[in-house]
Amino acid sequence: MALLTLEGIGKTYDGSKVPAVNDVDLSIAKGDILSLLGESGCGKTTLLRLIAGFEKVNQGSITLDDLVVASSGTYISPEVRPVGMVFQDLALFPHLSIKKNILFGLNKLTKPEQLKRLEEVLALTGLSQFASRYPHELSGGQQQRAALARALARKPKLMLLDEPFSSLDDVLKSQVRSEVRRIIKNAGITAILVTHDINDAFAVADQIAVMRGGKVLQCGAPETLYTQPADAYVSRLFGKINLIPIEYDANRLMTAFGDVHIDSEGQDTSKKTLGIRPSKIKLSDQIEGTLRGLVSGVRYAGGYWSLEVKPEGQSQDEIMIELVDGVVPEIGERVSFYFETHHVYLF
Amino acid sequence: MQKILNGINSWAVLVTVIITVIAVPILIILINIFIGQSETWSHLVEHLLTGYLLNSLVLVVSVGTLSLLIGTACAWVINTYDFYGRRQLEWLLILPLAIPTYIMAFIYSGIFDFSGPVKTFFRNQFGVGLAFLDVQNLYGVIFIMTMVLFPYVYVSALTYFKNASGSLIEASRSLGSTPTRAFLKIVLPASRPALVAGVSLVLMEVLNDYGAVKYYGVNTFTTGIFRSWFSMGDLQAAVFLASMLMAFVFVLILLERWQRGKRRFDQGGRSTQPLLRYKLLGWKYVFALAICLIPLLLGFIIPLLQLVYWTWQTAYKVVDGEFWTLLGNSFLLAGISALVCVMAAILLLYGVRVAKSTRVENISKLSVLGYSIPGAVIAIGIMITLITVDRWWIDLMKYLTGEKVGFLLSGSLFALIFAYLVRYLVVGYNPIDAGFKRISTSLEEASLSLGRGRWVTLFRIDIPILKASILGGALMVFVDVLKELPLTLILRPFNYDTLATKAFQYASDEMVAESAPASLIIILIGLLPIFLLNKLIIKH
Repeated sequence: MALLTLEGIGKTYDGSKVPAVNDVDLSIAKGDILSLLGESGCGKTTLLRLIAGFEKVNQGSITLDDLVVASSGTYISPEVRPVGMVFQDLALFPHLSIKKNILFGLNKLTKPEQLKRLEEVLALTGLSQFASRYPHELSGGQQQRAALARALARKPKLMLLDEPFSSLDDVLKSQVRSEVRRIIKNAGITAILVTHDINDAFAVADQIAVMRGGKVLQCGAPETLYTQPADAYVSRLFGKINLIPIEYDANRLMTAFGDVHIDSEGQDTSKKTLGIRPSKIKLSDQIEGTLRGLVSGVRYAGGYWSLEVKPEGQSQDEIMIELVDGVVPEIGERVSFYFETHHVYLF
Repeated sequence: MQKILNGINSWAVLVTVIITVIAVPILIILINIFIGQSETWSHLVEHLLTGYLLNSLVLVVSVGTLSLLIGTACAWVINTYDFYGRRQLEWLLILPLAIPTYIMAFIYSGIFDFSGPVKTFFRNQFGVGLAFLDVQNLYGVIFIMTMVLFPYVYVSALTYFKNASGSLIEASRSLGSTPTRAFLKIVLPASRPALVAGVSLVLMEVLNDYGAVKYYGVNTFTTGIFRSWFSMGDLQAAVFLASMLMAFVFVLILLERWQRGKRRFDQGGRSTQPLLRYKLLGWKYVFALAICLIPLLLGFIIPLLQLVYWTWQTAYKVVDGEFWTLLGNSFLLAGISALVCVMAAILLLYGVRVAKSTRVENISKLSVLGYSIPGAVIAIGIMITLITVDRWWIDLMKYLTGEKVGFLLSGSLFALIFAYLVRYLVVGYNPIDAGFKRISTSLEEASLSLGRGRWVTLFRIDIPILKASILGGALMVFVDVLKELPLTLILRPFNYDTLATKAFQYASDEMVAESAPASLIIILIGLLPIFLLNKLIIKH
């Protein structure tokens, strides 16, 4: 069952001609963690702020737990939406202790209830002995957990996290990521994580929605996005990939390296690009039915050899091949190779 | 769950209402540039207007030039050279700002009085009368105004020199310039906007002054406004003079904007390292010391000593029950005004933050209007606004009850506090604005996402974090109201006196020494925000 449903969401800021968010449909199942992934300016933060209620939608509707919270005629202000948020700069109140920061949102509960809930979230986030400290007296990771604890305390139906790891250094980051996932999962809360770093998304999210130019390009499980990218942009986001221009002649699919045979029923000749990851290209010692090229670069890249291969008679459009074992060719050598058919994408 | 449609727009309304209330008295004066003449008006134009204009012009040009010279010279010496006493002089040179021009006028007229210390000394020692030495004229006004106002230029210039000149000077020295040449050819032209900004503050004060020019018998626009209203009872003429003075001020502001032009001068690079200062010895040391010490002596130390001496002489008869009432009046008035200004500033700034609309933001910028407009002009604007409102009130009551009631707002403390709000809002506004800019909006959004409304957020999050800025702003308004004279003289309720009006009254009644205790309190309290300001400058 979907906890949050976005339908046809559009948002254009005052004084801007380009929509920041353009016709987005999205839904999240209860208990899932979804990551909105994209480069800066792709509209992911705007989408988050629309869900939180800090911005108003121009088109479309947002339904949270069967209640329309935003549409062209409806706007429920952020303080009454059952949504918690962890901000990019964490936004811990600097003049309040961690305890008071957490209690700030619990004013509707009775005193004993407040204290009980305080103990619960402090225990959940492992901050019990830091409750009386002020935000600046905590380490980066502890501040992170404090911000999470504060947002969790009100038992929101949906938790929003805006680039929560961007201020942490790399060593701390990997540790905090798994902590954050554990805490959210233990609390059983549905969450949306906005990030530009695919490693954040891999470490924390169940589902990933890739955004670009205000639109969601593809949404699905991380492995689905890796193995079945919807377009070249998504495929590149999820790892190194060779993008090779293709042409069609009758039933043949031609590249500069030779013809490619793929067992798909019928060909969609509108596709102009072939995508193949460097690790899915294999060198071959047969001549027939394979692709050919000249080695123009060889480099050891830790665990594998990285080969640059260009089409014969051409100086550009080289592709990368990752060679894990076997004989390493030399620069200038002619090589034959083939694509692993199941890993060929046509865009 | 409640649906709040356009919940945000109420903040835009709030901002617009506050700004409208503040702008009305100013706009009313502005409108009067184009309408209305009166019987005494032709008399004013024929006999007096040219004199007002001429005197105001002479004051603006000469005080502006002298402040520019003294302020820039002091700032350059303090910034560039190293000598014994430099550190102390750096902040001591700001202190003359604590003395209001009218108090400075009393003090120097006392010093150069027939029975004052200078003439008595020469008479007794050399048998010379020095009758020609008289400060109660246009030159005297120029002198005393320059001596208390030059620190505006000094502070502005020093801040610029400190921030930008290090790299400029180092660059020009690496190109073979001597420090003096670097200053004249590079730093001085580059610092022009900063210097002009300082001078324009000086000129605003010059045009605002009433006490000093009145005391020295120099007729300017402000004395003209007072004469029209108090002596001739011609409000229309006062309004017209006020509108002309305001036009004068606007021309100055436009000139300042124009000279800034599109060029950006502050790209001199922020030098994080302080400039290596030249050590001065011998006669050069004496010369540098003199440049800084003479303005300090004339602008602060001598006047202060004279005041202390007078206070010691007269305190026993001046400081009585009435004096404490005076003190209470002043502090209460300044305290309430500070509170009102700070509250208005907080609501304006928070409203703009919440409304998130460029139009609302532009409207809010009108709040700075009041500070550049002379107090006498604002007083007249408030007066005609409130008289109009009172007439409506009287008509309304007559219609409703059939009875004739008196004025409600005119001549009340409300009028006075309203006027202080119009004039000093920006004094409280600027530090609070700076404070708000340091608060990330995500703090407010965090509070909202924790289920708290906008008002709770303001009181529980923003205001506690802004505490220092708010106190600083309130203190500055407090001091400004405490020393304010022309506006208070025009709008105060009948027989209501403050420290400032009482000091002025004593001095006008040829009892300069008796005015000293009140003046001394005004100056000592005026030192507080200067120390605060100084701390900020040293930090940067």
